[in-house]
Amino acid sequence: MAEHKVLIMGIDENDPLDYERAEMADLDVEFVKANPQSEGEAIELVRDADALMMRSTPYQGEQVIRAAEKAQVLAVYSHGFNQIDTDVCNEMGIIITNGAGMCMEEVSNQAVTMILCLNRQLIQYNERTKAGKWGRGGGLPSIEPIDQQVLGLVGLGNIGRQVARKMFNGWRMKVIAYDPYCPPWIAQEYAVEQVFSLHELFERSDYVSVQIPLNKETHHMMRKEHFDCMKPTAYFVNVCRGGVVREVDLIQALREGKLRGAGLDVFEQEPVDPDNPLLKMDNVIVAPHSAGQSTRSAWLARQRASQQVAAVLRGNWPSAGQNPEVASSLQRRDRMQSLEPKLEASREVLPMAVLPEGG
Amino acid sequence: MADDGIRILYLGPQGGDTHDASQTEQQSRAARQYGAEFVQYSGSSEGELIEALKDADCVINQGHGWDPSLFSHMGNNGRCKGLVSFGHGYDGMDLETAAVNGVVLSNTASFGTEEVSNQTMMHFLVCSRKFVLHDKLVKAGEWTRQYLPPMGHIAGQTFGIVGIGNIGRAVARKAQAFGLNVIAFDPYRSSWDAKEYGVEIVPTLKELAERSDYVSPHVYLDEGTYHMFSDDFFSQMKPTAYFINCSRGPVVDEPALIRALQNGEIAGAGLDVFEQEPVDPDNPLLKMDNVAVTNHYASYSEIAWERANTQLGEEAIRIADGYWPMSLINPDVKHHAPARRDPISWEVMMANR
Repeated sequence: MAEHKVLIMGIDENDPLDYERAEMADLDVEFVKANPQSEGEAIELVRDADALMMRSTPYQGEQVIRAAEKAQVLAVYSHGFNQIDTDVCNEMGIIITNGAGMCMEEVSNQAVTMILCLNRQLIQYNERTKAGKWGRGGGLPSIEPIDQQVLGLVGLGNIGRQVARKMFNGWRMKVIAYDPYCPPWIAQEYAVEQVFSLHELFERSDYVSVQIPLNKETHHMMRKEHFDCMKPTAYFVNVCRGGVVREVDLIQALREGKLRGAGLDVFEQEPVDPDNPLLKMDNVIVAPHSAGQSTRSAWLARQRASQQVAAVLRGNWPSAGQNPEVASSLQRRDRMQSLEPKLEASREVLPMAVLPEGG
Repeated sequence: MADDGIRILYLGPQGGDTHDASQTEQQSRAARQYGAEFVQYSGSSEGELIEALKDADCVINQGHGWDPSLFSHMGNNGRCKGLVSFGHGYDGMDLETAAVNGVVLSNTASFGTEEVSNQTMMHFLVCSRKFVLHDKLVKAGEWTRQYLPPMGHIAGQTFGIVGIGNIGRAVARKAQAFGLNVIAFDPYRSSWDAKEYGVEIVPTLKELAERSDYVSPHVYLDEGTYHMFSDDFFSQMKPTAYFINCSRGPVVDEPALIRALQNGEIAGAGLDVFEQEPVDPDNPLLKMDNVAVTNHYASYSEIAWERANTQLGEEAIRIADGYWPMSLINPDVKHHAPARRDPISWEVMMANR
């Protein structure tokens, strides 16, 4: 029997597992591929697994996680891990890892695409021109000079920083951000002005673009009170998770002209209801939650997830661990080498200043 | 104690009797804004310090000695939950002892990122343009171009950074503005981060040495980085390449650097730090025309200083009020201390207070 059992849920049974095997080549691992058809089946599968790799399966709720008594790590392939109950994982001593970095380019490019399409009225002109209507203006809003506009980012994590870099370096936009968890020195590095209230961000921005994880704190974080303070000429872009926005409030705000339009890659309910009013609005451009897609992100997600699992099985902290609080409930804390977090922090630490006298 | 408010204990340099009023104003700013008490420690014995810790929620340490045994009166064993050190380096801090006692440690991360990266770029240009030698020649009345070759073009040359943290990244960004190719050795940095910075990560120090026209470490000093640059490294460098150091002197085996310079294994050096500081006036590095030296002031500017002073106070309040600090330097403490809130911006803490 192999030392570690790695359960991969939501994968084709003929998949050769090239990435998973390559990253764990030095470990004694038995891979189990599964597509459970019921929660009961999933519960049986996870019982003796040392690692859970969750690709796409509806069965990852509390009962399934509670049954994973041996599991050290739960790896999701995506950035978002809102479907996983973090509290239960903390209690069970299961480290959650995500696919950090697997689609930063792709998602930030989608945000930039939305911003540019909204600025240039591209989708509207495309439809009109193809319909044989030749003409500029014609009821469409004026096109503002983007280099004189303000981009407001909600969330200045990996993806937000890339959007900031592209729009500042490439388009010379003024970039401001609301992210109370972002150290000020990171904002400075990206030439971003940090603002400390979401209202201020919505008031000042010509485009608001959201790049945050969906969790208890961010659910419906953007709602009527925020849309109400937008400039009537401003646009709202969401490429992260639908649930961070109270969608009925966005719809109402668009109807009332509180903002000029929106670019949405995500919706509260997915697949989106064909009757969703957002799909009928000329000033709203949409995509089917495709921001993360590319031929690279497809395999990078698998490689990243495999690297995270491999790190944990080797007894190290993973570089993309998402629930550091789990450390306090880890039974095996003595065995774990906290290599990566330690170095993560020590990277911040460089030459000592000239200390005043006695320093 | 009757009070249940937050109390911050400030430890200044031992024996330093003069507190600069403007520094104190900056260091105590966060406590005043937050409605906390800021107390300057005035004792002189370990016993007095242990007593003082009983009435404090967090300590700020600026150049005061610190015995690791003090941690056993803090964290899980007492009122005082953590310690914030002034500066980037924490060479003298016993992280492990703090962690096992549940003591949260922080520093003033990144306060001098601009300054140190600028000092690095200055040393790089001074080396590349052979400035020290020509300044000396011209002032001595010698007007000549005979010592110029070999001189690199800079654009298209390779700049090798060891440690791509906050300062390494700032150096990378500035080097890229000169058209330099930037490569880096940092085994703890993910490839996607490196790509975001436009930097190529090389797998070994040897490859960095062989390919670079300029090498600049931006690492902290600990047992793993002590004498990281020694004979092996310098012999792998190009004879036309320069070595810059604005991090810590002891990461370099200084006699090995001197040998490499004397033997022409490398072309020159720009140094802000030395193994022994203040540097010995007889140190051969001070006599070389291809070596530029400064006296460990890379991180200095008034703004950097104010930033460090105010950051000290903010981190202390975070620790005292149940948050993790923004710059946690002993993350192992998460294994031993009770859960805390994620660190948030000072402005938001003030608004939520």
